[in-house]
Amino acid sequence: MWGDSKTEMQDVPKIVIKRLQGTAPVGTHPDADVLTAFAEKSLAEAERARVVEHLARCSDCREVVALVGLPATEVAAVKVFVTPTRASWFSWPVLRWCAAAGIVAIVLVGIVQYRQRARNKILVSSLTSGNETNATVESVPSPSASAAPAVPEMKEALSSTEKRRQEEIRKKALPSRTDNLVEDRLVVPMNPAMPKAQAMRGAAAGSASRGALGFANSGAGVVPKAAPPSSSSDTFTVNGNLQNATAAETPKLAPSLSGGQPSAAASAAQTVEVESQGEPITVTTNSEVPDQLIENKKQQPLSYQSSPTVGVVAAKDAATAQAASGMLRASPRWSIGADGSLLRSFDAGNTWVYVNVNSEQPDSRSKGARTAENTYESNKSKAQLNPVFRAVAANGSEVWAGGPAAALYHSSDSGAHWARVLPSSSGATLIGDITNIEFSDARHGRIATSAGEVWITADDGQTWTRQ
Amino acid sequence: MSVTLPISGAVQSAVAEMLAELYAKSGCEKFGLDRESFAAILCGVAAKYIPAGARASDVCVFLRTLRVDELGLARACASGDNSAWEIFLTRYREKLYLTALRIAREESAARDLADSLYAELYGTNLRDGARVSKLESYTGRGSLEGWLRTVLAQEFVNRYRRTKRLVSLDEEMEDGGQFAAPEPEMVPTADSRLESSTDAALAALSSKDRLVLAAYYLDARTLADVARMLGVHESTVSRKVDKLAKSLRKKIVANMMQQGVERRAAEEAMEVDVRDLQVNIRRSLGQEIPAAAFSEKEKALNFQQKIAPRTKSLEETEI
Repeated sequence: MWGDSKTEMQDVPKIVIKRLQGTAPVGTHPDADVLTAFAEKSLAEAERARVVEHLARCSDCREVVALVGLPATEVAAVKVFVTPTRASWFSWPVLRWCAAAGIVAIVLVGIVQYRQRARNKILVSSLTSGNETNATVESVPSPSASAAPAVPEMKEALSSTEKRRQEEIRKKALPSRTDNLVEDRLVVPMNPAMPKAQAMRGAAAGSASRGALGFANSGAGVVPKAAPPSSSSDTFTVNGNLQNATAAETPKLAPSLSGGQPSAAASAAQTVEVESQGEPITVTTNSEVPDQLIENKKQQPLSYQSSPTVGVVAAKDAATAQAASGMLRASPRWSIGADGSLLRSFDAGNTWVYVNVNSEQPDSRSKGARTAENTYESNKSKAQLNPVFRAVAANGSEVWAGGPAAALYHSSDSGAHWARVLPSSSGATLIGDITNIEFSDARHGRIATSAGEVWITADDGQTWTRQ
Repeated sequence: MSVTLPISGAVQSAVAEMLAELYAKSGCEKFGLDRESFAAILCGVAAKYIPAGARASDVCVFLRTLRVDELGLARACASGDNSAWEIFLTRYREKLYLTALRIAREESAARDLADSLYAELYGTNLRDGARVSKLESYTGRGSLEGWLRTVLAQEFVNRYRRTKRLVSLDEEMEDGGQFAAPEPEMVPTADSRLESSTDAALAALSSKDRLVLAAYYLDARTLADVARMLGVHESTVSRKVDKLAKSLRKKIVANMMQQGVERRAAEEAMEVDVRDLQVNIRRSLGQEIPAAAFSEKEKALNFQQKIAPRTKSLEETEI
């Protein structure tokens, strides 16, 4: 009890309160003037004592004095409440949206700066590395002399992938949440005369897209429609973790440079367009010779575009560039649609046709892969027929397309016939989602997976080595 | 009304002495209030507050404390001077509504309160065919703004008291009977000696102490509120309440012991809540419940044991 009385106010016996209540006010109430003077402490001693005496007995007057003495802070609070918001510019909704807009602007500025810095970095590194890029490709360890048969039978592949699929779905459960869609696109023309600057830009944008991962979620809803027309797209899944992203990024420079060599005489421009969309990668080859300056100019804005629109703009640019050159090629362009479908264009990206890689397979696998991938659920019957793709690479008539759950398809006739390929090396097979495919020429290629592995072939997919 | 009061010679001489100074200070000239009427106002005010036997010097001191400028403004308004009203409205109109809102804590009630005061200030009441403004009763003892606040608060308290007694029929039905429950307060206590002892203990306190007790325990004001009422610091009030509560217990027990009650019995009687007692009786008529007196007894015992050694040190002192 003693302790209680210390923590809270000492209680008086109830009888005291009762008797206090019982005391009736005596005499007349002091008038308003006197009460005011009392509240303002301007009464003389004797008069003040009289008022106090009255107040001790009169609860009404106590209340009046208490009301009069209310602190001024309450007035201020009330004032805000009374005078309606005259300055609507500073009302809460406006401030809130201004703050949101400000944050977005800051993020955008940050991304632009990051890209520029990354580009500068690559510029330096590519200047110093020069021709050694070839060596890096070749120096990729290929230790497996006892490489497994390159093209396994389809049935085997199916049964083994069935198991793998389960694992992957489990694995994916976590990362798929962060399956951010960052659209980013870059073009790397492969003219050996001036390859560096272009390649740099490609790599720079590639690394920038890494930086942009995770912020363009909002773009996901917008992009799908725009993505198919874009000649190609690529995705760094967050799933594929950062290591993977870096792994995918550096080689981009190397193979494309080396790939430029064979066609150097023809001064062909190879365009590597990357659209990081939580999805596929594409390499398109253009045998034409676009004016470097024009190309430069056109690609210039790309690095400054905010992500959702870049793909479209780039596609338009590419299309107009080709239209301007007036040279249409026999070899088609390849792209991945927003829903993961494989798209092909024979007219430099103006119209895109959906390509079915396995009409002969009823394919429960692709369904599973599809449910695992929750990004574009909306699309349609062809999803049942076709697996979801994330990356496509084309080199002449050689086309490679890959997607989740180790779905790797190969066509050597520009997509007329497809075969499923399951890379394996010394007993191990490719697992995980294919996030990136690069083929520097018809024979040399490299596949990055979400498991962080990189598979390399030097013989058009006959044998594979795991890195 | 002030005219009816007899004006003593001391007041008249003091007013005459101070008139020039105060008249200049009040700035009544621009409201069309001449010296004579201003002197009459001062005399009325002084006559109202100065006791009969006061000397002229006392009256002078009193007159100096008046806020003659605001007094002049108020009286000019009361007499219907337009420029005075303009000044009054620009100065106090907004404040009046804000104050009403602060007091009533509700928009419509605040409007109502402020509007009714406006009506009174302007003078809707008629006396002898002329309207009488409430501003006529302002005497400049406090600030005009404070006076307006006080008048608002008084009006609010009046209304509140009035409406509090009106209980809706629905509420009465919910209470369990169409007759309002009788006020339980004035049921005679078991021990009249306890009451008399308590009254004696309270009477022994200063009026200020009783004011603190009433405001804190009876009106359930916060310490900050009480402190503001008295113009002292909150911690002072806190200490005072603590001290008062302790000394009251001692005094009540001592008074009861003087009347021949044993200490322990006195402690028990004091701790038992009269209202609890009633409820318990009522309940025990309906059903058997174990008497809860034990815990109370034990508490009182503990309290006594702990407080006994310290009673010497707890001498009552004025703040």
